[in-house]
Amino acid sequence: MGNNIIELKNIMKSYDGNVVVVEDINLEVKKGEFVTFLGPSGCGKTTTLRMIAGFETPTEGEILLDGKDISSVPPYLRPINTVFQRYALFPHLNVYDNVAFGLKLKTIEVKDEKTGETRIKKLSKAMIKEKVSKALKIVDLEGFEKRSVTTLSGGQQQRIAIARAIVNEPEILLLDEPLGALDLKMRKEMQIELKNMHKELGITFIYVTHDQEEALTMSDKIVVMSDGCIQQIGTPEDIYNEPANAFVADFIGESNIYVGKMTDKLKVHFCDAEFTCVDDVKKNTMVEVVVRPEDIEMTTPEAGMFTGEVKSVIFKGVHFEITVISGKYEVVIQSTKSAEVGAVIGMNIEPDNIHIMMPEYTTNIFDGVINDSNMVEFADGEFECDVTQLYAGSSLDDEGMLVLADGNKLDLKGTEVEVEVPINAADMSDDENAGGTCGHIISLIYKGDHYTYTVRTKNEEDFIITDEDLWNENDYVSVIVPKNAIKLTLKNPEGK
Amino acid sequence: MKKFLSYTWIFIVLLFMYLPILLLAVYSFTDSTMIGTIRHFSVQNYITLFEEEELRNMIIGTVILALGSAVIATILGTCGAIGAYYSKKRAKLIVNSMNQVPVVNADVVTAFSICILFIVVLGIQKDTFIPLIIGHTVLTAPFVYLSVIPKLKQMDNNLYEAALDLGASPAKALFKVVIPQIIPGILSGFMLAVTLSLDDYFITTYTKPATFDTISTYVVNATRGSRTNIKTALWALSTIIFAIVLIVVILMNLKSSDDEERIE
Amino acid sequence: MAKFGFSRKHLAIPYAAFLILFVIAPLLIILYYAFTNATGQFSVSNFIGFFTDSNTLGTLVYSATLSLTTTAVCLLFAYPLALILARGGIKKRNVFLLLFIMPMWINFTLRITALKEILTAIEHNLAFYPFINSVIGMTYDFLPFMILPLYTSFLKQDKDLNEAAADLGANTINVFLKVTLPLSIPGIISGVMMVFLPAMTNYVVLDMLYNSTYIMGSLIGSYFAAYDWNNGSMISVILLIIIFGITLLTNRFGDENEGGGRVV
Repeated sequence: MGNNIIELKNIMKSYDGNVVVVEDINLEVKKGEFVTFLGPSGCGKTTTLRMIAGFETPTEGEILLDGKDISSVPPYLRPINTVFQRYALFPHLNVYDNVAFGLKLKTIEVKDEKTGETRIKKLSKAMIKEKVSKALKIVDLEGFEKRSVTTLSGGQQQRIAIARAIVNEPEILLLDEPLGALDLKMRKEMQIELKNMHKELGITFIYVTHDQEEALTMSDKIVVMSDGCIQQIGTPEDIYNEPANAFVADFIGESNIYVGKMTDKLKVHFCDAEFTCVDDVKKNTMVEVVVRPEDIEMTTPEAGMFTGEVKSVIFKGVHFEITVISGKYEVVIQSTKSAEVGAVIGMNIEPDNIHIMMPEYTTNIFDGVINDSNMVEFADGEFECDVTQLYAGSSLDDEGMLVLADGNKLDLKGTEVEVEVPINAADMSDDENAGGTCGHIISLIYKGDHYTYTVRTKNEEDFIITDEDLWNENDYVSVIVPKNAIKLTLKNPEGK
Repeated sequence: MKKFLSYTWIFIVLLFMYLPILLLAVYSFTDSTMIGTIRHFSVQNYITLFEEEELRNMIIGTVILALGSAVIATILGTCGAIGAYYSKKRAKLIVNSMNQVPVVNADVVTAFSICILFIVVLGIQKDTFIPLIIGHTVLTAPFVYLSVIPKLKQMDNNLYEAALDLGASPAKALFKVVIPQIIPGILSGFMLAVTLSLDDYFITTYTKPATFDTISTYVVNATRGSRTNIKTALWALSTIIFAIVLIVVILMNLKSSDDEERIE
Repeated sequence: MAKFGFSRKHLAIPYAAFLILFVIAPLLIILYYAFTNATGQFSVSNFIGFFTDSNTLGTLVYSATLSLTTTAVCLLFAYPLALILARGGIKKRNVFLLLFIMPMWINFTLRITALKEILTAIEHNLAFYPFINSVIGMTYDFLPFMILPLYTSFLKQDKDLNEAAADLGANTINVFLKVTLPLSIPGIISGVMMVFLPAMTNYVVLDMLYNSTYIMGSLIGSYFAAYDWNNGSMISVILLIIIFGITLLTNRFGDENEGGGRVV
């Protein structure tokens, strides 16, 4: 407990009371750790970083620095410094004045030797000079003091931005996609340098990136975020080898994701074949299976656990990427060996390379209300449904009143219900009027023979839908749910 | 052919715009009282311009008013622009719209409305100079605001945050980072305010003390008057102002081409 | 960041207060005066008087005609000129542009004085051609305000568009009619805004040219001279309605037509 430098507790951030960008973040960071927030753009990672820096105040929750709540402390009073994405160097100041900016504002308490009183004093010029040249040395830009920052290259500006932050000796250094504006080669170099700097300085780094490779290379701990929530926290190895869910598996590295079923103890069925695995899950459970492309071995059709036909082979420099069709499933393999397009090959997977995950969703659950035409309203739309399932033995009369088994009539209007829709029951259409509600596709994950989509409606209700066809992110679709696929249960059965 | 036509057109328009001023400049160095009658070379008009106390006071008054109101307008307009730019959307929209009113409004309406407010409703006397100075500030501050806002938009928003991050209080961050970034906008706003104030006639007429005159009001009165020595002295004034503008423009041009060379 | 005490957005407060006190409040006062009579009672008689009196109605019509003519003449001169400057491959076009802007920095009453002397030399008695003289005077005064927005709108146009149109088979005339002209409409609108309104209100130009004709602005001037605040306000309100109407109209054509003219 004592060595946590920063803790986020139930952090929530929303704008104008309804747009939630970060919801319920809990995180502990140890002193000296290199922590990376990893996720696609818009996942809330930068907002979280800005809350730690103090540029944003959390709507709910606390941020503890060494155990003290700092969530409403302004940024200039926090011992935390930031390296900005586009550097934010002051164009009107030269390199020296940029780096010295924080030092010139700093005050220290000095004890007057005669009177014994403490006085507040600014840092001496000599001291500032010494610190600046030390910082410039760390970033390898000695002698650049007098240069104007506008004449520096991107990489040099980047280094000045780092020097400007570390010269203040912060307890935590925040880096907001600092390498995003650099070209690939420069980026690789800076990754190594940053990692070395981290070792040398011994302070905590919190790093934000959407580049999974960068995260895997540099971090002690990765926080995978999506849609304002933490998906998984772990070491790079954990995250890569044991992804917590399909999103993480899909986002980190490349993966084959399939829907499977446990057939026996340590036996799982997917891709029309049975495999031995090492995860102990109860028999008959529906699961999701992740297999990394480099973990599939190619062999002769006879020796393989399952077979398929090679659809394409792409040379990627170090390895080949081979796409194989096995039954109705697509299998991606990375191998140093090539294969011939059209050939039938066998494939083997070692038990410990099969990673079993519990599926997050099998059904969508919504709060709904029955309206006066006996349709159910949920997820910003209205759907036809069978309301008689709410009361056993009931039926509808001509006027739309529900006739109960005992003959009493009931007006269902306004009845609150819980709505369940299995994820494979709903369908999508690009005709806006075809379905009960409409929304944008905010994410999609390929699962071997189908895609899993998340459709977000106007008021941020998420619909998980599986579909074999490929749609694009941000497509605006309507959601069609067949009448008999909607399961209704009364919310408070004995209530009224 | 096309080039020839182009230059001809430019020449015609230039002639229209400059012939009166140049002709007046030539005649200002003669002792004639009307254009068309050729007389002898004389600098009497320039002597009158500097000797006549009435004329001297009017010129000094115009300049002091322009500079003074421009300073007030620059401070107000700059603060307003910074404040509005960082305010919530709605507050920003309100200040923006209010700022736009004097810009699109006819000067005579602005002048008349300010006159009613001060003289009729508040009962403040014109000899206090208060209506005049505030009137000129109303006229010029919106243009300062309009020249500062684009500079704020151009500025990287992270700069202010970077300053806070490095330990600067909001006020310090403002003075050490934001103001230096928008200084070109503030300066051009100030220059604009000065020129607008110098050029104004309506606000001045409706709010000035009876004994005070700016160049505009003085010239308009002089055209109604019959003192020919004053009339021709104003030709000299026009020539001097033209010369000053010309010199300033040439200097600015030299400086900016210098800068360009340095960048290259 | 509201918890920091001082915040950047607080800087907007003094300016917002200034605008409310000296821009919005005076307009509300005008509105009040326009709808009351000399004894302070609510009345629409000012407006009824305006719209039933053939003199004032005549002034409105004359003023509108003068404004439209001035605007048209300015456009006629400025449009080819701006196009030539922006596109004509003129050497040192920045110098030429400056030459066209420079008159704006010379006090307009002095410039009109110069024009008056020339016109007097040509016409001998200015009273013979009041309408033509007014159009010449106002064109002389406002022409730079038309040139500048047109010039910027031509500069903003992507030259590739012309080449694309030519590539798709349009000849020079078609390129102009189908690409250049439609894209310059925002510039035309802001130029018209800059000229039309002042031409309805800047009665000093007329006064200085010994003109006895009245435009809308002159009415405010004469009511002001007679301390008739109610009727002066009524004219101001009518002008405000016209301004508001024009602004609404122009906003429909996009807000990108930055008012370059007056701002330089």
